[in-house]
Amino acid sequence: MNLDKNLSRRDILKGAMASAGASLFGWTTLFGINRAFAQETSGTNDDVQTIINLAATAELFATTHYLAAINAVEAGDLDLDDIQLNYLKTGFLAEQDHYELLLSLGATPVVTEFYVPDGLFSDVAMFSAITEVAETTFVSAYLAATRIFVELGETAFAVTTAQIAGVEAEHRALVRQIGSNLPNDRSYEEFQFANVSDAVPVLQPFLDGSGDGFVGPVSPPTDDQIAGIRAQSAELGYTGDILPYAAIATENTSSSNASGTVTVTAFNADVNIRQSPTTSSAVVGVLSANTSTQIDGQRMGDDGFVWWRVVGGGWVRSDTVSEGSATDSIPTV
Amino acid sequence: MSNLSRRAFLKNTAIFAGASTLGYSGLFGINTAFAQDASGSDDDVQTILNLAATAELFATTHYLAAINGDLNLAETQVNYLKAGFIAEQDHYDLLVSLGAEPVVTEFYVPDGLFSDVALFSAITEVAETTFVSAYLAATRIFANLGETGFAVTTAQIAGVEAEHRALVRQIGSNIPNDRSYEEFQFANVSGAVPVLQPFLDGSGDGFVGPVSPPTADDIAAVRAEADAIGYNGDVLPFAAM
Repeated sequence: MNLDKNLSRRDILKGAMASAGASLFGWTTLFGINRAFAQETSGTNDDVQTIINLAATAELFATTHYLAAINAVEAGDLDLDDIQLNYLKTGFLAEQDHYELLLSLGATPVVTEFYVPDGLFSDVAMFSAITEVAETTFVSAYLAATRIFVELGETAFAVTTAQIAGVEAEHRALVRQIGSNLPNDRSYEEFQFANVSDAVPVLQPFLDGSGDGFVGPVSPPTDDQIAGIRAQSAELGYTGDILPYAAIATENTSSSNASGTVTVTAFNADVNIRQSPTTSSAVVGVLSANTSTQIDGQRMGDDGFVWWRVVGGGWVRSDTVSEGSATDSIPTV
Repeated sequence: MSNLSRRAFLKNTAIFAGASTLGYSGLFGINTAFAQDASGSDDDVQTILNLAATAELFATTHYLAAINGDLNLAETQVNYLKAGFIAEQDHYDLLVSLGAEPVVTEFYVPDGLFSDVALFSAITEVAETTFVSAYLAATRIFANLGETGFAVTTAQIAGVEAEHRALVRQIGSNIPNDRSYEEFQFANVSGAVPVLQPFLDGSGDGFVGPVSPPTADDIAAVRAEADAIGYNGDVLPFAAM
């Protein structure tokens, strides 16, 4: 493998001809656009396949990185306390969830082994500084993805990448805190890159070991290692039930049908289903927190709230649920 | 005082015709002179700006009260509050520069909020989680409108609110980074109104107030500490780039 070949985003996206003579296993192949999967996009935006491949690569690097840090803490090499160790574990779980989402969408990581600066997992200040660079890059790359998805009219993915950017921002803040820096040091997450592929030069040393003093390669987590940390989720206080908007939108689209029903979902608390559209009427059922049901009618209540008629019987007040799709077609009854 | 669902204040202004002229129907009502049409049942842009500005003004008021309160937090934690204050103030200033007008300018909080760390953490988490979701709703709407600059900017702000959420959870001894995705709770920004309403009108049990927002001197005093606490004021919203 040609590890010395530097690549700019332009190389990756536009330099296929210039790279024709490179090794078959070189970066041009790994990062190159797979035209069998790529979608055409306007201007110079990354295509969707490139976005998800690069994001999957970053997430796989992140899980590898956090697992190495977790193991170093547990071995006594990286001097973090138990609470900070838990931040690494929940960070690991989030990155693994992102990775699995991307794979489910057809992503293929462009590399599957990684490199890090020598001593990274025994020096807290270095660990904080390097991880901050990585997380700041992830935030910016996901914001670039948001930009591109908006331009493509892919709202669900634009929102989903914004959801992930927010989580990466949390990680960034916490690794800054681990390094004794102010965690929430900004008013806006940084938009550094117009394209996701612009992040490649920043991350490249981690992907090919081209940076001075980088060591490796390190293999990504095994299934057993992933399962081992997932088994601690509840104990850590991890919330695994928040969905990416792309999944919510898909669910709602598929559950809205020609008969004029719409899916509604309870927020984070149980919702009473009332016999009639008023809180003074009998409770005839409960829509559990974060679960969904179908509605087929609406009525303005005397309390000033719209109430939804549940297909299976009863009413829920509109401020207690989110509506999965436009409710304009729901008749007043 | 009338309760308001999002639908009520967006689409059913007629039902409030008989309400008090000082009621929320007037405060939250769409100003059609400024409102832009949005597709389907999405909030219009002016509503988004106004509600976001209201939330940000509440946030600055809240954080300033916490900074000045009796929470007995460590100095590093107080710095998180100061940095959070500056961020929220920057967001507010941006929104006002875009034509936003907050729908209320005084706020209410649960009694004892600024002397009980657990209560402060729990309540602030609710607020920040709501802010994150509301900005994600704004990202959705701006994406639908093809307003790339504002869609990305609201995503940038959602990320910062997510940082704040994590840190106030930490202040309450909860795992700060407890999720894989920031929560999309509301299709519309106005979907957040019922959650925030007690802070805006004092309608919740045990809420006290009203509290006035920070003065120019208050803001300047916290801003003067920006360098000392390590705040980076150089990151721009994408809409300004």
